[in-house]
Amino acid sequence: MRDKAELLQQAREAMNARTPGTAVKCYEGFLAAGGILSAVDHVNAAKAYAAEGSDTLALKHLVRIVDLPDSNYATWVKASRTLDSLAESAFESLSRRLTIVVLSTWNTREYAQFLRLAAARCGIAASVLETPYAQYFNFSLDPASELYAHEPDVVMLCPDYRAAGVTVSTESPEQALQENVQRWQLVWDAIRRQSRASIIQLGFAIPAFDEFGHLGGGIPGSKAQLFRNLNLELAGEARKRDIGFVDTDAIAAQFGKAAWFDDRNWYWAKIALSSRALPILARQCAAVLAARAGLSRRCLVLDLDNTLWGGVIGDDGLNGIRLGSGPDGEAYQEFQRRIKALAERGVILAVCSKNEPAIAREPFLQHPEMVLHLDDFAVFEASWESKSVAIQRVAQLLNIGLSSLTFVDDNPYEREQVRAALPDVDILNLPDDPAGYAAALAAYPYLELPSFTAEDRDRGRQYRARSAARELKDEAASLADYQSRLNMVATISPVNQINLDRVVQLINKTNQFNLTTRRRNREEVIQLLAREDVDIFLARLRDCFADHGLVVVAIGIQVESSLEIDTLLMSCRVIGRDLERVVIDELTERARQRGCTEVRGWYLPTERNALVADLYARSGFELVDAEATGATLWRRPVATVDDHTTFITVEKS
Amino acid sequence: MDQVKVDDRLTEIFRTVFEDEALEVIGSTTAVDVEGWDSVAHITLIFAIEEEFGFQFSSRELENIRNVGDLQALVSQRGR
Repeated sequence: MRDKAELLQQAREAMNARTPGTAVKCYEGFLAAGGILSAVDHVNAAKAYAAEGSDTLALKHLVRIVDLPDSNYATWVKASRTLDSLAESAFESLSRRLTIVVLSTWNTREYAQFLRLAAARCGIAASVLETPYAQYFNFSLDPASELYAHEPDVVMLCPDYRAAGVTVSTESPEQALQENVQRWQLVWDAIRRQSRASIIQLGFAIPAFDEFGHLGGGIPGSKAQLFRNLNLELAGEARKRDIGFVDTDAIAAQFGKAAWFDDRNWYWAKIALSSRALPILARQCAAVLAARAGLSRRCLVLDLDNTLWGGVIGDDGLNGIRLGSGPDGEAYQEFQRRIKALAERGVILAVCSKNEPAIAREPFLQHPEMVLHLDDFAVFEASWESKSVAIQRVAQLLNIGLSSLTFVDDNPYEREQVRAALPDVDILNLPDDPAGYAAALAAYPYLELPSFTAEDRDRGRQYRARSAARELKDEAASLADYQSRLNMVATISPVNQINLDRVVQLINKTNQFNLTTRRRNREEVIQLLAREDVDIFLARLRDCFADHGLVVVAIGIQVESSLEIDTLLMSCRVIGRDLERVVIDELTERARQRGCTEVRGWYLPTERNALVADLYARSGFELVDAEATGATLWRRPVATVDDHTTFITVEKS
Repeated sequence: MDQVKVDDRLTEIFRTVFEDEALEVIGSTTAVDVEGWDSVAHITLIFAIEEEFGFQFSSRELENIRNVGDLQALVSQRGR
């Protein structure tokens, strides 16, 4: 078994040696072993897949670089070029097709390529067309222009402070402002009149220095003031007309304006910003595109330990978790505040934690520094199942698609497990240091709202109310629906040398789902196997997420014309799927084969097995005898047809 | 800086920008020798080199680049 590092090295060597087939196998091996690829490796993997004709898989790797912190300009160049070389069929996996025309005052050729990659990451197959730059005014006003000939779904307006023809006047700044706003409104009106395209307007990134120096911000009519006011006015007017406004100035500030602006790029090629900032702009604009196409994420699914507080509540207890004081504690608390703010603007919250439910709830109920409360959450999933299973349930309960969810977890292995199992769920990459959590969430662009109304504020509340109601009334329906999709398969097998140890283990340690709790050692089980009057078998269960292994042991003993169920036990891992009915069916079949007329069985109560007190009643057995100890005896004729719904396919081996 | 390593890193950038995994460049290689090396590709090249080596070319330096050898020399001198 080659180790992960070796596999990665071999993949890289295979790429250098131009043997993409080998590279693909090595990358797959690396990923299957739990390896995490760097941005450069993702692009190389994509190239390997593309060389092998697997363009859809190539696309899957390319879009990963959009969010990775180690992606840089060169990565984007390589990735977008590789994207352009993929067959059209690769894009069929994306959920939306959009034709975007970019109208700009600067050269957007490379920006358009990056936008296409960023859009693909958001699930959009974008055809990005440019028009000769600085023609935005003429093109929008002229009904015969090629802008309209393209029949765009989206028109993206990208002005730049140098060339947008913005008039500055210190004498009548208010008038200058209005003139500039109106000019842009003319463009919008013309586009609206002549097409059905959705419009996205980029604001102006404002350079840090002004001819008035540091006073510039305070002097009406200074360039800085004018552009700032212009941005505000445009944003307000855009909102009134359902035009998406991108706050380019804020994006540039976040990136660092010293690095954002590069006059050389303007002088050489009329590109408004440094080439290194182009990916940032493309990523943000793609997120706005996605929001307006209804593809935003709507729900944060949150881990608890080391995500909402420092430490593990199950181990550290209420006094041991870090929240509220100390640098760590403050960071976690701020993270909670940001999450709460998102909830207040309409984002749905859910918990998905590996914990005992009561323990997971403790901080919410008792820790004084918690900002988030239980009623902020529409769903609270705490269990020991895999996160991907729990997240599926979250989506079911909320009745929203997996592609509406973003999973937030400090543990990269959980993140990768969910990413692999549920590719439609988005993953927020939290940094290692909790001090960076709040910023990481603020920088996550895929919760963009297309607009914000009072309904959005209420939405969180609506989901919580709805989901509580559903849990009470519809649980049966949603559970059945969920189970029907699990592809559960039970395999009934005889006991043999290989599984004997596991069978004996189950017989001796199963307490809850155990009708009679009859303990037997290895010798005794072997003796049973030899008896003619005994049917002993086991069942394995697997579903679409996992193979749960050997989970049932059943022993039936023939007594005259009855087959008595001596033992029926089940691992608590798979309780709740009606597997026991399948087992009883099998026992009934064995009884039939023996010529028995009925199946009988005792329920012998213990401190731990109240769970199965009603198993026989539920399965259509009739009560024959009840003793003072609480023990009950039941029977069911072999001829009885037990028509229960089951979502389990049965195999025999 | 180790010249060999510089040359390797530069070659890698050329391969990315010109989409040719087999591309080899030597000191005397000029724009006419490489398919697709137009002014737009030139900008991509410059920005990628600046990012990789952590410095910025001055306009004068850029004006005086005649061939790959000039680039290699500048990068060795200025780069990290």
